Amino acid sequence: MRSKILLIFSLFIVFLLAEDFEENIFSVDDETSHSTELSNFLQNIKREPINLNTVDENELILIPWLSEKDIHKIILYRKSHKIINLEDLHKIGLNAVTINELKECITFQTTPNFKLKQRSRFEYQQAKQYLPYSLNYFQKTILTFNNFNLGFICQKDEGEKNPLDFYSYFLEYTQENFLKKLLLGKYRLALGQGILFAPKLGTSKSGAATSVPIKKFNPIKPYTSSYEIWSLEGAAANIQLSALNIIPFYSNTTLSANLDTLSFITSFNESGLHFDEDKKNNVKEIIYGIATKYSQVDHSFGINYAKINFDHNFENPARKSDYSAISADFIINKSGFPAFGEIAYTQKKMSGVLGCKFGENELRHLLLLRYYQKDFPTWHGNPFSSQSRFDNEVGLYYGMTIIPFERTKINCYFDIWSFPQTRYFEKMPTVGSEQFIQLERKFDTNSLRFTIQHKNKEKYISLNEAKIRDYERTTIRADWWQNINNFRFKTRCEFLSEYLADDNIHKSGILAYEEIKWRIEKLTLIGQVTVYHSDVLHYMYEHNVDGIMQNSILKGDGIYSYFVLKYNILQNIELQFKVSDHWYTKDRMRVYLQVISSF
Amino acid sequence: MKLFIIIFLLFCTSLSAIDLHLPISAVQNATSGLVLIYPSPSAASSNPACSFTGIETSATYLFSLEDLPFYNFNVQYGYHNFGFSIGSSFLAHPLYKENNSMFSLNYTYYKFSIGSSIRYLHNMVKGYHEDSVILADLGLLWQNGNISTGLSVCNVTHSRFLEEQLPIVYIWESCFSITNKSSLSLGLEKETDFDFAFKIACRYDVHKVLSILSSYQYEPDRIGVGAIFNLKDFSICYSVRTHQYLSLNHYISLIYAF
Repeated sequence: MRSKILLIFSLFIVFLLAEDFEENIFSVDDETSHSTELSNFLQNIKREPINLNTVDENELILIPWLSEKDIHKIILYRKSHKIINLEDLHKIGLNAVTINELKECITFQTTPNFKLKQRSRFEYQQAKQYLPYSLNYFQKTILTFNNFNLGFICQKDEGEKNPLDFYSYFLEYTQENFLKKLLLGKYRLALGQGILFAPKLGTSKSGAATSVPIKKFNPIKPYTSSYEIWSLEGAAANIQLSALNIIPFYSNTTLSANLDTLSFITSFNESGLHFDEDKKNNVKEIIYGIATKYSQVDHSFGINYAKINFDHNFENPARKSDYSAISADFIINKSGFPAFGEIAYTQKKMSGVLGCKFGENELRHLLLLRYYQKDFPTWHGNPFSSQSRFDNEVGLYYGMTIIPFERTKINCYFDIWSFPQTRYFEKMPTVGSEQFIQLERKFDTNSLRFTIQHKNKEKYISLNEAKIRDYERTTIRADWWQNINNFRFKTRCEFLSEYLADDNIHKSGILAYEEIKWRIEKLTLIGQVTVYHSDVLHYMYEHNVDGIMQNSILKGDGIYSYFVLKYNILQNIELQFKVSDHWYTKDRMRVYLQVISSF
Repeated sequence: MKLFIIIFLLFCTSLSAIDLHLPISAVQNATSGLVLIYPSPSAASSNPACSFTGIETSATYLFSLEDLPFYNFNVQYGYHNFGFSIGSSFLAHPLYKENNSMFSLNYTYYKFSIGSSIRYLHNMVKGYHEDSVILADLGLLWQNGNISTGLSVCNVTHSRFLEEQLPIVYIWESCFSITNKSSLSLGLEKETDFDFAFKIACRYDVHKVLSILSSYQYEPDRIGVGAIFNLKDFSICYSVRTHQYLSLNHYISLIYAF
């Protein structure tokens, strides 16, 4: 019975991680669509299983169904033995459920000395056909040779002339000894809980109420994202001296910023759209520093230092263009009570995250406190927060995972926060809160999920407004999955409402869709039809070609549909195609074509 | 600023501050007022049907304001199927004083308990008024294995203070023991002229010496966290609870069970 519960739990975790990003996207306020680091990781490890004998410990941490204890057992075992098969994992002490989950994602074979991976993607949006050069293009090539990875990524958005409008390149050297990693080119840095450095596309809240808020990172990685800002360019290394990791880094790069008449930076262009070449890469940024991490079996401590310099001043005098930042982070995992945190200091401003996880498998809790002072530099960080620019926020998050019965799981979180100083055009401090409850029930071939999400925040609607408004947004959603042979059906009904209490303005909308996924050996087909009638914006996750996590934004009355095809033409080549369109609406079609090859 | 808000809340209308139903122990502070999840002698103040023999004394500065000390004392004793409880709470601002003294009696038959309490409420606002009133509360409790459910109504007598109706509060709570170490409690509270307040509280017994309590209340949004250290018959509970606009509410309680 116990193992059965664990199996269901693990399945839920896998399932959630696939679907959680759907929830993340729903909670993202801005309208851009992104892929996330973890979703990419999950896609990748299923496509290319990782070698348990050689994989970096930082990569192992990212595998969601491996506990800290499991990782430690694997690391210890492989120091003296080679892991040959699944039976060895039993010997190491991993339980059967975990091994069952892992088996599709791992290999024990040494990877070939030479490997070439390539991904080419074209995207055409009918709505943007008026733009010159309306084709969107993405290309990623990674060549692996022994311990070296050489990569080149480029992207051109619709309307951009230059086929190499954005590019990333890297040379990565990895080894198990003293010099664990050396990276030249564009890379991303992620430290501690992400206050100073973290991937920008990672999210804070999701249906995994007691796991996703904790940030887990591989400290340095090549920059392979299509998100066109905040990459670092230069060199970074990970040097291992017994339990101590030292990560020196240097970056000299350019950013696209909006400048005022005095050439002061007013904001950065995070959309990645560069229609005006003069506003592209017009600010130079130099970063250098060092991160250290001391790791033991059940605890780790890190101290990180960075010096950051922009060659332009900021319009806001509270933001310095030249500053040093220091942070300290820790993870302590004693007696099943993982505690973690990071505290950072720069420009006489403090920021900190402190969290603790406790409870049993049937009832787990996560408490997370964050405090970010106003005008704390947020450029490269992405810690837990209710907003993307995380400064000026104090909040407490309480997440719970409850497994009251076999096959039933309840995830809920409650988050309360305040902005102690005024923001934007607000005239006084404001507060906000969010409540999320999700109930899941899994049957043999069916799954049901009910979700209620409610957000409440105080805000001013416009600059000249005299009073503060109490804004509420409520989402009620029911999802039903059914697996029949090679088919998977998913049905969703969603009700959404927005309410401005003081003005008694009430808007609402409903959305329903049916999605069918059919998979046979080499072919995967996904089709979805969505019907909506709404006065408010619905953010709806939709499947896409690999590498894109996309949410459609639907409002008004209409029908929307898409179709995805993934086909392995040859053993090493996969063709992916997607078309989406709004029925009875002109010029809203989108087409994607992607070729993935691996030799 | 914070003090101003408090004083404003206390004085803005003649009655809005009277019988505030503040949590009267660190346990209740940690559990957002839910009492079934960790029964203690002060539980009878919220639901008179609750019975837990012992003495409990608690103290806090409301919202960390030294001008607003709030003291509580409760004793409960059981005899056969009966439980008796006396308690008192005292809010001691120099300009605003409120004393709430209580006597409760409950009777348990099989899985059901019923209880009632009489409260003597004395309120003084210096230079404005000083008066007192007697109120009655009623409580029901059903306990069956891992589940217990309680309902209580405060001020069933519809008592009035200075000709104004005092709030009538309905509190429903259900507690589930999910495992030997973990419990979950859900509650709803409805006070006259206010929306329903939803509450959820959890208890996790880390060790026989240490228990952790955590809770969330919606409308208004507040999170409470507390730790209970059990030393033989004595327990010490320390808890904090957030407030949307004010500072944390720290609370400490000492419990002796006999």
